[in-house]
Amino acid sequence: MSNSGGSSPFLDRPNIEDLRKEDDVVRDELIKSLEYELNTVQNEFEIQNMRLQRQYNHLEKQYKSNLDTLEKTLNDMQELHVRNESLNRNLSELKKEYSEVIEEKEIQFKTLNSDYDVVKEECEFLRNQYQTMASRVGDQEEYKKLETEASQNLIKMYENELSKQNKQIISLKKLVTEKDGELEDLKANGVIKTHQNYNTEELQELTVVNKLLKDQQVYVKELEEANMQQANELKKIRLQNESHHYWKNAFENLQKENSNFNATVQDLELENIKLKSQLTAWEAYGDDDKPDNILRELRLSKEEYKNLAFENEKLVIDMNNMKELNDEMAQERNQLLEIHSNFEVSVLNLKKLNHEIEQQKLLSFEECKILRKQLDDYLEAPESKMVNIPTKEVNNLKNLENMVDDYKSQTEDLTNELKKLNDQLMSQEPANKKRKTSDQVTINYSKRLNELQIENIRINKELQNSNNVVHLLEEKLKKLINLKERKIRILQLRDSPLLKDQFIKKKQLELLKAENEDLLSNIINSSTNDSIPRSVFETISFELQQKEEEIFKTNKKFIRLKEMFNKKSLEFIDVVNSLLGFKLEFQQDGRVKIFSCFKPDRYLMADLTKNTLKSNLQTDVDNFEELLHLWVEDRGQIPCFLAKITLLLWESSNKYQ
Amino acid sequence: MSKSISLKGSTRTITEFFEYGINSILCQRGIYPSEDFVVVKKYELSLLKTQDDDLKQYIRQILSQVHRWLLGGKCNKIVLCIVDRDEGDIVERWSFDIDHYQKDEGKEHEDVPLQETQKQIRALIRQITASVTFLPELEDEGNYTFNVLAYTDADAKVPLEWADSDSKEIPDGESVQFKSFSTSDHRVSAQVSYKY
Repeated sequence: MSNSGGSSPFLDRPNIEDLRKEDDVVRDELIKSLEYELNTVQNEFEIQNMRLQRQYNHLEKQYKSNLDTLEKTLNDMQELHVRNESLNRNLSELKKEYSEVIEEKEIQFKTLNSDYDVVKEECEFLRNQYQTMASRVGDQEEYKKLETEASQNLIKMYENELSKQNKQIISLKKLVTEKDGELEDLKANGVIKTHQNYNTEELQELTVVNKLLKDQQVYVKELEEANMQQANELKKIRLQNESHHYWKNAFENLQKENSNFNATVQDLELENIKLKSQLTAWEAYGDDDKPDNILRELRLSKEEYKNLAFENEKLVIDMNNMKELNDEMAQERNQLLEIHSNFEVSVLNLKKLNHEIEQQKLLSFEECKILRKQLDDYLEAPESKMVNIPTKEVNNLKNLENMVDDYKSQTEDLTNELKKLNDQLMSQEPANKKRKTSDQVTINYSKRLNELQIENIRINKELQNSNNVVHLLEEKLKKLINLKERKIRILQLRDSPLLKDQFIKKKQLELLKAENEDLLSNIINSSTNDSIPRSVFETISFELQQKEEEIFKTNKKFIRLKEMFNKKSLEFIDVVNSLLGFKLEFQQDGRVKIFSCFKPDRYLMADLTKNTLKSNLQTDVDNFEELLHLWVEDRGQIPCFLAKITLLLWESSNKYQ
Repeated sequence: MSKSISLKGSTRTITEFFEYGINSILCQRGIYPSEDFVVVKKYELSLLKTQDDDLKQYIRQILSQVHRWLLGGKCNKIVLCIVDRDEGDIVERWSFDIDHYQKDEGKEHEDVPLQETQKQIRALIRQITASVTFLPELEDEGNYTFNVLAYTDADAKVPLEWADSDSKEIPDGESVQFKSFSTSDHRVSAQVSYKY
């Protein structure tokens, strides 16, 4: 910054140092104020920061807590979900069970209903049959009765007619005999009076008699015919009577059959009732022990048993097959094992051979080396010497060389052979593997066999169990079949309150009926007699007796209540006595004697009607009159007076003691 | 120490239970007025027992015979029917089934200590007492009477005082099964059927 104050030189320039100082001061102040502001701003910032931090912490806390709650709620939700799922599962299971149970019950109910309907139909059919038969028999009986009545009437009529006609015949016979007599007389007269001439009158009489005789003869003939007809009818009636007897017998037989039939119907009904009662009894015993359930269980277990038996048969067949297979496999295995052992032996032999050959080879190699060495040594010898060597030795040497070569070639051959053998052995390894695989197969087979045997044992056990169950169920069924419902008698005492009551009512009813009948007959006869029927008296006397009994009962009740009252009042008096110290004795004329427990031989007598209070306690309580005056007359407080006396009596009794 | 009870003791326990059971039912259901009953201590409970001589005599007569039948193993059930005097309808039917352990062959049963029996009896009597809460109210108090039926075997000896009866079932009645109690020789289970 320049120190020039301006452009004019005349201007009084201020002192620069002062200015500077002032500037410094101002600057310092400014700096201070700025610093202060900075501090305040920093403080504010820090405060704000702190607040924000706190808010942040608070929010973080809230966030964490919210997170926790959220996690908790999530967990809860999950739990709830799980529980809901399990509940849903349970619900569905329960629904299923419920539906199954309902189905079972419905089936049971239907079967029972169908059984019941069948039995009902049978009963109705039998009843109808019986009714039709009964009505038919009844009709036949009535028809026969009517027929017999008609035939009996006819018989009677014919008998009457016959008797009449017999009488007529007898009379006519008499007439005929008379007329015969007359005729004989006339003949005799005619013989005697052959020469006599008949006059016209006599002739006329004779003609009339002749006519009469002829009429009589015709009439007799008619009568005879009628008699014959009647005899025929009588025969017919007899036949009818016989047929009636026959029908009667037939009717009786039918009646007998009918009664037998009735008995069978009753038996069937009884059986039906018994079965029903049995069924109800079974129902009472509970659902599990119902015969239907047991039978169903038995049926199911039988089916299960059959299935298991079938399965067992299958398994037995399988097992046999497997055994055969196993035997075959075992044989094969044995063969293979034999082959294997042979092979191993041969391998060992070959190995031994190989080893020997190797050793021989080594030996031969060593020999070769020695020989070669010898040969080399021999060859290294001076040729001069060679010259001196005889031809024999040269030949020998050559021979030796040849031998060595042969030996070499032989060893080479042997090594080649060994190689070949090794190659062969190597080539035989897959077969070995094959053998291994066959071993594996046999192991697998044996494993499978073991498994099958275990399964077989398990199934055998199951079979045994189911056999046991079947046996048990069969025993149960036998027991059930043999179980005859015990005959039960239901008994009651003849002299029970109910029967007594019913007997009284019955008697009352009978008496009232008799009374009613007598009164009605009196009205019908419209008798002017003013007397009352005896039955009315009997009814009234019976009612009176009943009333007396009722009175007796009420008296009894009253006495009992009285006893109760006395008991309770004694209890009350005892309590009062023990609590208040006074025993109260109510007199008949409205007076109450009050005995103190501390002086039971003395008393206070309160007359409630005259409103007085007397006592014989003056001798025991000195200032009795004063106390009476003070508490009763002046203050009107009898309880306080009594309390005071009680206290005084207690003190005096304590003094004596 | 609880001692197992013999057959005689078992039957005595059962008849005793019947006595108190019948008395309790008759009092609670208002068949007889409550002032006819006194409180007695039994099975560690306060139970009601009648002091009406006729009723006492009747119950004693029944139970003495039932005791004899039980000793012979001839009684299978005791039923107390509460009957409407006017209509003659059965309004309640308290049945006590008695199972005889000795009769059922093949069933092995352990001896039940007397204390256990008494505990079970207590529970049963409590249930009977509590049953008043769910049983329908018997209106017209004093208009009901009762009858006791004994279910016996057909070959049981029956004195002349006893006569045959029908089962006095309640048609379409509701039933409630109560607890049971066991002695060494018997098992007694209770049930009430009622009109609803």
